[in-house]
Amino acid sequence: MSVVGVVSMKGGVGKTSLTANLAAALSTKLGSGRVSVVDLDPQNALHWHFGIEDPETNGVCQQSLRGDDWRGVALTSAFDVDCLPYGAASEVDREAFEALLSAKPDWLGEHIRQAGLDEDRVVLIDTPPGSTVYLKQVFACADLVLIVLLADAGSYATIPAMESWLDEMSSVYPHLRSIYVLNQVDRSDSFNRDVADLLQRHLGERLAPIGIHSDEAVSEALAFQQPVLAYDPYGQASHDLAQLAAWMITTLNR
Amino acid sequence: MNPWLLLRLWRDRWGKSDGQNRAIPFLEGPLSLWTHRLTQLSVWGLPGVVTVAALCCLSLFGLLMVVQFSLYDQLIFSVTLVCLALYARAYAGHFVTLLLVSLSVVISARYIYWRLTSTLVQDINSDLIFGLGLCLAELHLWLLTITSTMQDLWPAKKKALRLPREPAGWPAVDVFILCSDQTVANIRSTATAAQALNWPKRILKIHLLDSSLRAEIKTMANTMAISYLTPAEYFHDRVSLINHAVAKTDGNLIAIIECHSNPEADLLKMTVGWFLRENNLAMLQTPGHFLAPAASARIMEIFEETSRSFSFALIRRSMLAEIGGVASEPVTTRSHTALKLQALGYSTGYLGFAARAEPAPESQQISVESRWPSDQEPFLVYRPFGDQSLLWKLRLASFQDVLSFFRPIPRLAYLLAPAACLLLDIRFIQTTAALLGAYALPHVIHAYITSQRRHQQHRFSALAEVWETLLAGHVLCMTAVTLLWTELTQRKKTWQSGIDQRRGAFDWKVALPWLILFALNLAALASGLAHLLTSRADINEMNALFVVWSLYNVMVLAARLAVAEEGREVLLHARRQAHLPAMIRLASGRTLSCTTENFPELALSLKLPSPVPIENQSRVNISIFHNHHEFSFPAQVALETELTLRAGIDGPARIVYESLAVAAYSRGQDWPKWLPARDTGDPLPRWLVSDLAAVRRRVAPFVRDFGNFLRMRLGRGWRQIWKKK
Repeated sequence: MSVVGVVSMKGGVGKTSLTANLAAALSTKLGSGRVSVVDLDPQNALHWHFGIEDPETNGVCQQSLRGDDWRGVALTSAFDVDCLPYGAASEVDREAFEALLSAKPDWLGEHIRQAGLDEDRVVLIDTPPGSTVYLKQVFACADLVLIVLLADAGSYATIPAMESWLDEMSSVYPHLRSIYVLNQVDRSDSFNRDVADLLQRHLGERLAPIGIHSDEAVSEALAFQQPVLAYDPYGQASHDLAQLAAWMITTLNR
Repeated sequence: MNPWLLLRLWRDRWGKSDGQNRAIPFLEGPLSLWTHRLTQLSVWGLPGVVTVAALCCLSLFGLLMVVQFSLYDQLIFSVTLVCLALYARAYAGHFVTLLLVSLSVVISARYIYWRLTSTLVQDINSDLIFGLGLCLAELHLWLLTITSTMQDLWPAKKKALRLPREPAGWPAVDVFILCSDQTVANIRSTATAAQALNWPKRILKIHLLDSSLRAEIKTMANTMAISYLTPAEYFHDRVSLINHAVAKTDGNLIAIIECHSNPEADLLKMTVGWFLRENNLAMLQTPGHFLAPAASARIMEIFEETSRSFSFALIRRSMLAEIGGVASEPVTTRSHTALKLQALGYSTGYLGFAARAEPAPESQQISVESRWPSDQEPFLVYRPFGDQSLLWKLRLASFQDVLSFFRPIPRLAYLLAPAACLLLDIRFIQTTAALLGAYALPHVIHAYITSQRRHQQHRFSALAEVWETLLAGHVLCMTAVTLLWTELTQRKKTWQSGIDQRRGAFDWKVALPWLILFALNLAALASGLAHLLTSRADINEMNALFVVWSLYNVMVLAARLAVAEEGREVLLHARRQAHLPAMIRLASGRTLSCTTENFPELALSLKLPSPVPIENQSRVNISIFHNHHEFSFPAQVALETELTLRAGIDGPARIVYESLAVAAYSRGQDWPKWLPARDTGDPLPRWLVSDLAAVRRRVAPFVRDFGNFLRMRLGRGWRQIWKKK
C-alpha cells in the first residue's frame, strides 16, 4: 500500500481538485479497485468530484470519534475510486476529532492500516491548507507528499514556511519523500510564466517534471461532478494529470 | 532521395552504430612491414630507377593481359592471385591497398581483353550486336573503376582548422541562397537557418537570389532584414544569377547554398579556417554542388553528403573574379568552374563531415570562444591533381566525369542481359560456362575486395549495389533528356534545379520501369529454370550462369522496389518535420492536447485528438513542448480537416517561434529519431519486448540458482568419485 498526501500551505491552490483528478488518473492507469481517496479536509468537498451525493453514512470524523474503523465509510464511485469523505461534522465533532489527532501522531496511519485495504492500493489524502494537525498526521504515514503550488506571488511567499516545516519533518521521518507540483500553469500569461521559471530555478529537482496547466475544463468538470479525465479527456489538464500519475507510479515503485 | 539515409535509418532501427565502427581493423603484420620497407628503399632515389621499374611493370601488365591460358592454367593463375589478395587484404598499409588495386586491375584487364577477343561471335548478327553492347558496358565499368581508383588513391584527409580567436581577422561572407523554383516556405526555412549561422552578424550578409521576381519573396526578405538580389532582366539560369549577385556584393568569401535543405549552424566555422591558412585555396564545396565535379573519394562523399543533404560551395571572391565569374558551360562539363580555377594554379577542396550528433549549442548568440565541435571533424580532400596544372590529369578527371555521367546505361544492360539470353535466346557470350567462370569470377572477387578495401569505412558493397541501381533509374531519364537537349539546342544549359530531381523521386509511378525490369528478370528466371530441367546438359551450363545472374538482378530490383515507398516517406521529411507535443488554449480557457505535424513550418499544422468546434480565424494560444520546456505563441487558426488545425504564427511571436525552430534543430544529426513511425520496422512490438524482458528478469535468477545448485551437487559428486578412486 502506498500513501500519498496532498498538501499546501495556502488555500485555493486547487488541492482538492488535484487530489480527485489525480486519483481518477491513477485509477485509469492502475485498473479498478486500486485507488482510494481520504478526505481529511473539514470542508468535506472531495466526494463531490466523484458525483457522490452527500452521504447518508458518517464520514471519517464521526466514525473515528465513535472509535470504529473506516470500513463502513468508503463509498464507491462511478470512476473506480473509493472515496472516504470527511463527513458533515459539527464544530464540536471537528474539535474533538482534532484533539484526538493531536494526541496520537500515528493515528491516521493506524486507521489506514486497519481499514482492510489491499496491499496494492494507492491511498491519496486530501488535507486542509496550512500547518494543521491533519498535516502532521499525513507526514507521519505518507510515502510521498505532493505540495501543491500556484505560479503566483502567494504560493511563492509560502515556500519558506513549507521548507522549514519539511526540514522539521524530515528529521523525524527521514524516509519521507516530498515533491512540489505546480498547478494551473499558463505560460501565455507573462507573470505566471515568470513565477513558474523562478520556482523552477528555486526548487530545481524538487519540482515535479510535470505541471498541471490551467484549464477551464477542471472547474467545469466539478460543476458536472466528474473528474476532469472523464469530463474532457483530450484537454491539456487531463493530459498532464495522466502524465503526473504515470510519473507518480514510477516514483512510488522506485 | 538518399538511399544512404535509408541505410542509416535501418541501422538506427536495429540499434547498430554508424560510421567507423563498421570498419574491420587491419592487422599490422609482416606484410605491412615488408611493403613499407620496400617503399623506403634507397634504390628509388637513384636516377632512372623509377622509370625502369614503371616500364617493367607496364610490360608485365601488358603480357598478363594478353597471354592466353588453357582452362586449368587460368584456374591455377586466378586462384593463386585471389588467395594472395585474400591474404593481403587483412593487413594495414597503403602499399597493401596499392597491391590489391593492381591485382584487381590486372585481372580485370585480362578479363576484358579475353571478353573482347574470344567471346564475341564472328558473324555480324544480333548476337554480335548484343554481345558487343554488353562488352562495352563492361568496358565502361572497368574504365570507370580504374579512373576513380586512380583519383582517390591518395586522399589527403586534413583535420579541421581552428579560426583565430579574435573575430577581427575573420573574412566577411556573403551567403547566396538560390531560390529559383523553390516554394516560399522552403526559402524561408533556409533563410532562417542561414541567419542562424554561427558567424559575427556584421560580416555576414545573406542574399536571396531569385530569378522569378516574386513579390512575396521580396516582402519576406524585407521582413527578415536580408537582401533580395534580382537582376533587372530575366535570367533563366542560376549561373548568370550568381554572376550578377557577385557583381553586387563585396564580401571576401561567397557561400552559395541551394535552397532544398538547411545549412547547419556551424557550417562557416568549420569551413572558413582553411581559407585563412591555405592562401591558394579558391573553392570549398560539399560533394553535390554544381560548381565542380563530384569529389575524388566520391563514394565516401556521397555517403557523407546524405547526412547533411545540402549543397554548399564557398568561394574566394578574388579568385572567382580572375576566372571571370562562375563558368556557364554545358551540363556535361559542369565542373568547369573548378577546372578553370585549377588551371590558374588554385586548389579546390571537398568537404566531408563526420556525421555525428553534435551537442546542443549553449545559446544562439555568437560568442567568440564558441565551442569547436570537437567530435565533428570535417576533413578536406584535395583533388590529387589540383596542385599541378598537368593537362592529362585534368583530362583524366573530366574523362571520369563523362564516364560517370553515362553510368546508368551500362547498368541497364546488366539488368537486361539475362532476360535477353533466357527469354530471347540470344547467345552473346560465346564460350563455355567453365571458362567464363574462370575469367569472370576472379574479376568480380578482386573488384569486390578492392572496393571493400577502399570504401569499407563508408559502405557495404552489397547494399551499395542496391543504391547504385536506385540511382541508375533515377538518373537515366535525366541523362537522356539533358543529353538530347544540349545536343539539339546547343544552348548553354546549366544544371537542373535540385527540386526537379527530388520531387517525388521514387514513388510507385516512377518505379514502374523498375517493376517492368523486375518482371522481365522474374520471367527470365522462370524460363531459365524450366530450360535447366528440360534441355541438354551442354546448354545448361551457360543457362545456369544466366539463371544465377537473373536471380541476383531479381534480388537487387526487389530491394530497390522495397525501398521505393520508404524513399518517398523519407523525402517527405527531408526538412525534418517534427511531431512535438503541443497544446491549444482556446479563448474560453479550455485547452486541447495535440501534436504538431510539421513543426518548423510557419504554417503550423496541428493534429487534434478529437473534433473541436473552433471558428475559422479565431485567436488562440499554442504551446509547443520541447525538452521539458514549454513555448507559447499566440496564433490564428483555421480548421483544415475535422482533426487538423492550421495555425499561423505571426507578429513578434514569429521571431520566438523561429528561434525555437533553430534551437530545436541545432541538436545535430539525430534526426532519424524524429521521423514518424520509425519503429514500424521492429520485428517485435514494444510491449512484447518489455514483457519478454520482464519474464527474462524473473527467470534468469532461477536458472542461475539452479545452475549453481547443480554445479555444487555435481562438484561434490565428482569429488566423492575421485576420493573413492
